[in-house]
Amino acid sequence: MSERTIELPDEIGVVNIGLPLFADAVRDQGRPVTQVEWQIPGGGDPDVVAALRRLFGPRTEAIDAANAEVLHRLDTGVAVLTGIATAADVLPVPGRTLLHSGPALDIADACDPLRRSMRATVLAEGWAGDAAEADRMLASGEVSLAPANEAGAVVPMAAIIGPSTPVWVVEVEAGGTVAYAPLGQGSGEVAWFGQDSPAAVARLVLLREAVAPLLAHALPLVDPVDVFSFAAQAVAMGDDVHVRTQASTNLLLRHLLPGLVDSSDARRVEVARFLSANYLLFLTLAMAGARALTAWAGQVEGSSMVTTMARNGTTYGIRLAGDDTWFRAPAPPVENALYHPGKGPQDGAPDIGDSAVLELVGLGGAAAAGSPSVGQLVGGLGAAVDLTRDLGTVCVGRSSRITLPTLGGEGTPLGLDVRKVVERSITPRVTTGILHNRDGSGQIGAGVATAPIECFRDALLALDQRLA
Amino acid sequence: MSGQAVRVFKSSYRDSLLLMAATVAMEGADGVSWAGATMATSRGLQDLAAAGVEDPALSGLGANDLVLAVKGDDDADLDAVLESGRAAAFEASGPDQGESADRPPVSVAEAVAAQQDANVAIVSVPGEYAAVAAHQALTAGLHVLLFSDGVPLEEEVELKTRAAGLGRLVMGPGAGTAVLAGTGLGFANVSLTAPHAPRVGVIAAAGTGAQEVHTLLDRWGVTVSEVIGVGGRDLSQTVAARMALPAARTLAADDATGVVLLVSKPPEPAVAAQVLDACGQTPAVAVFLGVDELAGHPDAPLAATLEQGAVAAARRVGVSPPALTAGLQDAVRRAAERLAPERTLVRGLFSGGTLCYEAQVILEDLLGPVHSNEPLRADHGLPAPDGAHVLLDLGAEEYTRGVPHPMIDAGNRIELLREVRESPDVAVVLLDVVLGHGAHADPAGQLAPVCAEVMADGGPQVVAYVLGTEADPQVRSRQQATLEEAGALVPATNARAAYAAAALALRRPELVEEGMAR
Repeated sequence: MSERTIELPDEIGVVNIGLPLFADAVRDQGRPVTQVEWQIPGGGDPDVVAALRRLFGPRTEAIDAANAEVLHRLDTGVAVLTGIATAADVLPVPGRTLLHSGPALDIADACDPLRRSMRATVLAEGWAGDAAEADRMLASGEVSLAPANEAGAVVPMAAIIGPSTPVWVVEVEAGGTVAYAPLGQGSGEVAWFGQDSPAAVARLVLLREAVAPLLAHALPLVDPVDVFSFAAQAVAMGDDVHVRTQASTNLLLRHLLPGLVDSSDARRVEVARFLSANYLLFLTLAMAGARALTAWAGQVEGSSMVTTMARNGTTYGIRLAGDDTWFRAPAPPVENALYHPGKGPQDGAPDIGDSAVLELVGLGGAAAAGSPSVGQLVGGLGAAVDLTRDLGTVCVGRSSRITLPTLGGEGTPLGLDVRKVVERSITPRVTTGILHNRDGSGQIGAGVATAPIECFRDALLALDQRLA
Repeated sequence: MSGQAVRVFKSSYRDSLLLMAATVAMEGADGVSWAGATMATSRGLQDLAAAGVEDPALSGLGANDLVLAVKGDDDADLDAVLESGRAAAFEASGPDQGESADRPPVSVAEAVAAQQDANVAIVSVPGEYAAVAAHQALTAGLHVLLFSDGVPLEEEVELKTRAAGLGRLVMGPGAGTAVLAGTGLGFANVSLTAPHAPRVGVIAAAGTGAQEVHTLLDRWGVTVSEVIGVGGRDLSQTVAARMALPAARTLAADDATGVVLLVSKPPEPAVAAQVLDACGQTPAVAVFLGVDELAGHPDAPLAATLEQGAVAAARRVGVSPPALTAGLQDAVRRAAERLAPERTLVRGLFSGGTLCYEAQVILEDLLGPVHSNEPLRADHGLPAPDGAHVLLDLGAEEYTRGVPHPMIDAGNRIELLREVRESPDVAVVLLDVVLGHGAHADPAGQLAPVCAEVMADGGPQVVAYVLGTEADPQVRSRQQATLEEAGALVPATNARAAYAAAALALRRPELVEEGMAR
């Protein structure tokens, strides 16, 4: 038994959790009191409550120390764009493999838009002469599938990385981590929206044969691109750097301009037209930066922080720092949605893409409160502020470099803590596009997808076991 | 013919007080045969099923979903009844209230961020969830008053082990009161004495025993520097004084504390002796109700009752308490003359658990077996045999399920008082009336008319003790006067009330002078 004494306070200030009459009693004595709006933790499930008690109790000092390191890495890691590469040259993926979003998936379980995107990629790779042959190769396993996340890459929506796909290469020097994401395909008929038309295939070829070479030429001629520095500036200009990347894309193109005009490539005007119409160009660069950051943060052992959050259109998966295990649940529908005319909920595919990695680094929903255009999507800037605040209640800290002018310079929520998520049953809500679930007509709307609680609950219970 | 109606509010946790308010609002409506407001916990859903409520809306609900259900006559407007329940349940904070920017804190960490000078958390959520909140409060650097009951023993040990390592208090579980730095927490009385008066530090389980010694000392001009509640199990072998030990060391090291007063139900002797040793050079007095000598520690400074513990502590800081029985013997004699010969039994209806226990200790000594729901001995439990003395602790869980604690509302006690009216063999009804923050605004005003009814036409004598101070919101002297005007005897301490009850039952007025230290 320790010989320690207690530090008794000289003046009392109270936090009241439970019956309000106790708060009134303190207030009546002229002492300050704050009432907590409490709710039953973990939905009242006894196993979950017991795990929360251990993880918030005797294990909290060790977990909090690990979380502080994770937060430090997420907040300070400098992610620099170091080049453009062909996937096969940098990614550890053998032969005819396609990298897709979310956790591992059997082709039979792939949703329609993902299947179409794979088909387009097989055609663009030149492995098959027509769609039927592409389907046969996919169904037979001649072309294999792997999660991009497990290869150190991330892909948006239904996008696929094939061996010849051009990717951004982003490094975090402090952690020695590197991550990849495919160059953005832009809008129109595109594979990443689940389309497999000749135009969608042609776009993949354009990226590989014209866009990537020009960007690769330009990059060494300009100063290095610090991804989160650009993102922070763009948040101040109204981007959430997820569904809206207008400002960050403009900043990037302005930065690249001297290098781009230096080119004498015959297709440079064609590429410039593509780039100037691609208002989501920065999206995948930000995702690669986020993945390089979470890869570094994810090396910390004993933390309760979520460092992977990804969906493949069928399954939602998360991973915690220090553990490679995926925890899965069915991909949720996209709700609160605005649909293109003539389309509705019956046409929408479930939530898909690795872009939720942005929510883990203080962007996307974390920055919604600063984005009037996200507000338009979710029902007003007040609703966008709610999105950010809700995420804040389940995060351990705030970004010191990404701040919200609309909230008086408050940092965006950073460091998603699985304990808080499960305690409060509040999962991240991610604004996202909606793809057609049958006919390959691409994006049909946009809305908000709420991550399923089940995978967070399973991750919490596994963490409790792992730290026992 | 009858009908039923159900309404579900997702993610709308309401505490039990609001649930009761909603139930009451619905039950009171015309044509309603049954009404319930409950969270959709497994227990809540069982209750609904037991009441025969069935509705497809009840499937797939979780513990944070609120259910309002009502059954009644076919012609009753059940939707309107549900609406009245909704209004009651959401009175304090509607779901549409407030904008995002002014959201109240939803966690201890957020509350501390909003109130930097916070240093104590009061936790009164249901016991199965309380340890999570208490741990979070410790993590945020706060001391914890853990009011919640039903916290498992191993969780108590886990909490206190962690708290001791952090240099923080976990007062409880089941701690109803504490005083830190002069501020009353929980059900607490307001001190009158000046800060420079002689000081006593109290370590107690933290129920009405702590309140009794605090208010007695305060009344006698002795300042109570701190009341540290450690919960009813702290002096057990398992918990091993994990809180009482550091608390004793802390009070011993505090120059302003002249005496440490330790209050507990009968403890594990070796553990209690350790705590007394930890007081070091600071004089200590212990009250272990009913324990005259600590096994293996014959020199331990014990007092038999809360009253005598307070007296001893006061004397140790140089204060002589005033007479405690002035006029009481005469009053008892007059009352005894009025009682019919067959009236010989004592019936106690207590709101304070330790007050009930102290009265049992005194009455068993003088009257023989006393039966109770919280008895001194296992074989003195309920149901009591005919012709037995019975003291009930109405604050115990079995009496407070679904109804307010008797300190908050006397409704339950009033019903039991009326029942006593029908018993021809009861001589004395013994009551406690606890004042202070959290207690009813006018408990004597609630009880006095019923006391008068009970005593009318040759009924039993009511003896009521008022625990409180002049500075309490209810004002002790006013509460006493109300009860005296109704004809009740109002002694100076809970112990004196018990002695007066014995004196009346035996028609031996001189017994009111028993149990006083020379």
